[in-house]
Amino acid sequence: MAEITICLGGNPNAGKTTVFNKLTGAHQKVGNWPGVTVEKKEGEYAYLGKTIRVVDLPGTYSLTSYSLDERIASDFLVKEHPDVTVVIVDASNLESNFYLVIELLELGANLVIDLNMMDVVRHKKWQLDVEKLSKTLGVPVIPTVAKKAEGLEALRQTIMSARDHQPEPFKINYGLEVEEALGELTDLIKRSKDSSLYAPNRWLALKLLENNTQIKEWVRTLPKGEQIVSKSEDLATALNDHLGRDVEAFVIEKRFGFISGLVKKCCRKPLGVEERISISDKIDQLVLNRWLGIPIFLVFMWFTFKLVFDLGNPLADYIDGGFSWLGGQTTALLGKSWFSSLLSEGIIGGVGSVLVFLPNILILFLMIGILEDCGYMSRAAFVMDRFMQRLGLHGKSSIPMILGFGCNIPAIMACRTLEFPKDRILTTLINPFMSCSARLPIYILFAGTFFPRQTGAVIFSLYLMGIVVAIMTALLFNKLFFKGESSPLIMELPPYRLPTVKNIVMHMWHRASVFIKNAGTIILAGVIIIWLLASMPVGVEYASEQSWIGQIGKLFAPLFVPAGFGFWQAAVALMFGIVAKEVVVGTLGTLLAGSEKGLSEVLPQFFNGLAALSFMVMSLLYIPCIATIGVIRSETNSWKWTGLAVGWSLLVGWLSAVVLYQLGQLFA
Amino acid sequence: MVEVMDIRGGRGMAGRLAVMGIFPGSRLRMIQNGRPGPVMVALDEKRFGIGYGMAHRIFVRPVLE
Repeated sequence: MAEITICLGGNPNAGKTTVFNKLTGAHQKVGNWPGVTVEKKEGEYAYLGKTIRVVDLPGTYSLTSYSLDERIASDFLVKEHPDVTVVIVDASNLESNFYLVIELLELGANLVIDLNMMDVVRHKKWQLDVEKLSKTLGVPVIPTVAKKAEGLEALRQTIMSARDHQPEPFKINYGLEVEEALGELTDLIKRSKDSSLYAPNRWLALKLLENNTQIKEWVRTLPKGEQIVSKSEDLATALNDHLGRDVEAFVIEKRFGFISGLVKKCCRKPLGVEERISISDKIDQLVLNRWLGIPIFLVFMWFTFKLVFDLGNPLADYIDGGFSWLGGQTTALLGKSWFSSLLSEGIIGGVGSVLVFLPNILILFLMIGILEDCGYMSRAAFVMDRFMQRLGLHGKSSIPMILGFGCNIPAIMACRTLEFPKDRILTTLINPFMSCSARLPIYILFAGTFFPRQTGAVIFSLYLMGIVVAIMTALLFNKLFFKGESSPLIMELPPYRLPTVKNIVMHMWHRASVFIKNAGTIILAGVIIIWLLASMPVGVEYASEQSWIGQIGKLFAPLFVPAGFGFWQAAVALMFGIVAKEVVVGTLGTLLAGSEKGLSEVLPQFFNGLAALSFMVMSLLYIPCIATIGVIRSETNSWKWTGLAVGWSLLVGWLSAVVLYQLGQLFA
Repeated sequence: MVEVMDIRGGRGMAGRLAVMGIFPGSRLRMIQNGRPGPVMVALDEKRFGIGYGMAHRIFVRPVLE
């Protein structure tokens, strides 16, 4: 049982993750914030015999309601009311970092300020008066260098002693007109507020004037809330007229005005020696160059891709081999029975099909972690933004799309780096159309058998087709479900720095555990269901014509007649392909030729060239594999989007195969 | 060095920029003009990437240092 709950807030790139990792060590768990798929990290540490629970808030610049992250942070602070709030500030960027600090002070949070990155301040020879800062703001200020664990003991101690501290909410004078309106609203709120909102009345009033939609929702739930909100809107309109500008902007600038005075008072910077162009800027002149930017990005991606799949796949093969061996041993030990088949093919095979992705996922997140930590990731988004905006996506969407050529599972998990839910969902939904490496054996078999001279060209056009379908789906879904809203690029490009091993390892571990926990269960269930269909009714030969899956194949086969492959074996192979696309070739081998070996000789008896093409198109586009479906479900947190991904891909796959076959027949 | 004069965008956009420190009166340095791609600006020690669509609604005037 945690006795003290604290939370960590701060701007992105202020070193929040490092502080969190240093405070809690390995005692962390990840989950999602209620109702949304924004990662929530929690950890614990013991100090002076007490257990301290640490909640990591999303990195934000303010407590407005512009982004989901900001809403989550405000929601936690106001509704859960942590004992202590630690705000991590990049001391080398006091002006911009302090905006959030001021908002937290106005909220009356029991604040401890962690002035992080003091090494940079010392390097720049700035004189920072920590004492004065603390006195002026009325809260403790602790200088630290989190990556070297400097000052963290003092931070722990201060958190402990700050627990019983009850600070007076901090007030900035916003000038006569605004103060009058604030007074009026504060009175109204005071009269009707209940105890569910741990926020000062003045803060709520201020947020109403700032037109904060989230606070409006909350206030509306109070008795007479509707009246208070409409009063606040009247007051805001009057103020806008009076000030000649938006009261919201006015308030923000007042806060920055206060900060600017504060920084002048507490921080002295030596004159004249400011480096105009830093090393970081010099690297950026190359990396973000109009002509070189995209080639450099592609080189980085190619390198990531090579490592993830060239290094990961052999490891995955070991795991796969290990599970096959285990399955074989189980069958050998228990003899051939219904039960041993369930154990070896269903359960052991199922667990194997989850774990087989682990090497790829671990290496991918190692690479993403390095790219993120050193600062390149935001540059990649910057470079690709123009192109991706045209597709209604975000610059960062380019990374999952490229990774999809290797495997859609880690690619979809990489969508977590997208901050807007719309971009994340859209990028996830189109990802299965990026032809993953598991589909390649199908192409090699069919294209090699039927188009021996143009094998390369055929395979290349399939990849291209996948990209085109992905782009068209993105454009269509954006119009249909998101009304073409665009999420403009505005983000901080942090200075390049050496990645920290601990952050990267933690990051890698969290993502892998999320995959096993969330997606793993769905994958396992799917594999067992397919196994069941292939071995029922009892006593039937596995996946034969008489098995349930064979029966279903027969039922669906007529649907594929217009596509040129209307026989039950093809339908069954496609159904097995839902388990994993690499199984399609093996299944066809078993069903058509008795084994995979003689398959290319037998194939022409079942397919003609056109049917082979249409079968490849079908394999490219139809239903993502179970593992991908599992990841789509766990990442979008919605069966609706998952259903859409499955249904849409099935429809597009079938239609494309049929249209291709029918048109081909017309011209042939 | 330029000074921001006006931001002609929706409420959300102006607010989003403002809490990052970009509002009328802020002084920015253009590091990279990627036109028609995004631009990179410096605000004190911080660097921001701003998409072109957004950047062309931020009106600035040059200032002497």
